Amino acid sequence: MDRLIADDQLIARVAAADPVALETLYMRHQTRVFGFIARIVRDEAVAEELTNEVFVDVWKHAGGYEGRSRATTWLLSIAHNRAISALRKRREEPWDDETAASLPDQADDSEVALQKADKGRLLRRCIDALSTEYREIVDLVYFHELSVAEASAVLGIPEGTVKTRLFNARKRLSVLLKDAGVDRGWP
Amino acid sequence: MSKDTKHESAKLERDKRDEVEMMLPFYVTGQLDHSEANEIDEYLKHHPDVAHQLDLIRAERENTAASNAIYASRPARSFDRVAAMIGKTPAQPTRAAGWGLDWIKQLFAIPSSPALGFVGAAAAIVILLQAATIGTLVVAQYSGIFTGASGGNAVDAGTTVVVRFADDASAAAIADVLSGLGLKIVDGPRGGRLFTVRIGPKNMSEGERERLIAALKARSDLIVFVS
Repeated sequence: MDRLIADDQLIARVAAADPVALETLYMRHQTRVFGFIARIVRDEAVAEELTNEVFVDVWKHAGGYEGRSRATTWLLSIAHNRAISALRKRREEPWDDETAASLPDQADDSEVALQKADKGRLLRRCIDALSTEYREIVDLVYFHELSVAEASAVLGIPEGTVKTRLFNARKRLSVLLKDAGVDRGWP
Repeated sequence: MSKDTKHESAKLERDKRDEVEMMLPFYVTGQLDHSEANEIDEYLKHHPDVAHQLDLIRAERENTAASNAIYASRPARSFDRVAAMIGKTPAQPTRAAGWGLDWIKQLFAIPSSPALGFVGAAAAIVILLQAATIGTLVVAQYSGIFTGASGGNAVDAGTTVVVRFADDASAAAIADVLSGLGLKIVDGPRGGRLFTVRIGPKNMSEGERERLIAALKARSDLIVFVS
C-alpha cells in the first residue's frame, strides 16, 4: 500500500476525535462519495450537501467502524443511506420501482441513425435512464468495482440479490437499447 | 434418457447458465476469487455464445465510467463546511481554494495534533498550490514550517537530505511517498526547486539513513535526485 496512514487507521483517529484525520479522509474520498450520491439524487447542489453530511456521519459514528469491510465500502454505504433517504423525502422518484426508468427520448429516424452511429453515446443515455436502483448497482460494480460482498454491504441486501439486481439491470438495459433501435442480441 | 431426466438436465443447464451470466460482470471487473474465475473460464471455453457477453459487459463498463466521469473530474472542495458542521473549526479564508491542509501537513513538518488545529497552521503559513504538481508549488511564506507553526516549538532538523522532485510529480503522490516513509520537508524550495527533507534524528544509524535514501531513489518517477 502506497499510503502509510491507511483509511482504517484514519477512521480510528477520527473515532478519537482527530479532525485532521477526518479532513484527510475527506480529501481522499470526497470526489468518489460526491459522484456516487450525485448519480442517485441527480442534483449536484443536493449531492454536495449530502457529501458533507456523510463525513459528519463518519465523525459521529467512526467508533462503530469495525474494519470488517474496506473503508470505501463503509463510506459508500453511508452515502447510499443518505442519498436514498433524501430521495424518499423528495418523493420525486419512487424507490424499488423497476418501471421508474424513463425511456430514452423518442427519436425521429435521422436521430436514430445518428445514435446507431454512436452506440457508446446511446449506451450511456440508456445507463443514465435506468431506474435509481438499477443505475446504482451498475455504478457500484462497473465504476466503483465492488465485489458481490462489498455491494451487498453498501446496499444492505443479500449477495444473491446483488447478483440478480445487476442481472436484471443489464436485461433492462437491453430493452432500453432495443426501444432505441439497437438489438444487442442478449438476453 | 427419460423425459423427466432430460427436463431436469435442461433445467440444470439453464440454472448454470444464469449463475454464470450473473457472475460475468464481476469476472470482467476482476472481483472474483481464483476458483470462481477458473470456473467461469472453464464454462466460457465450452459456451462461446455466453463468451459473447463479455464484449457487451466491457462496453457497459466503459460507458458507465464515462457517465461517472463528469463527477470524477469535479475539483476538490474545501473541508471548511464539514469542519463547521462538526463544530471543530471555523472556515479559514487563508486556505488555498480547493485544497485541504492535509496535503500541506503531509508534505511539510507541521505538527498535526488536534491541539494545533487548523487556525495556527493556516495563520503561520500561506502556501499557494497553484496546480497539483510540485513544479508549480509556490511557498509565499513558510517561516512557520521551521518553528512548528504553533508558537515557537522548533522542529529538530535532525538528519536531512536534499531532494529534487520531478516537476510533474503531484503533491498528493509526493505526500504519499514521504508520509509512507515517515519523512517531512523542512526547507524549500530553494534554487533549482530543491527541498530539504528530514529523514530522522541527528543520531540515526548509517544503515537506516542508507535505507531511506535508497527508498527515495527507488521512486525515480517522482524524485529526480537525492543527495
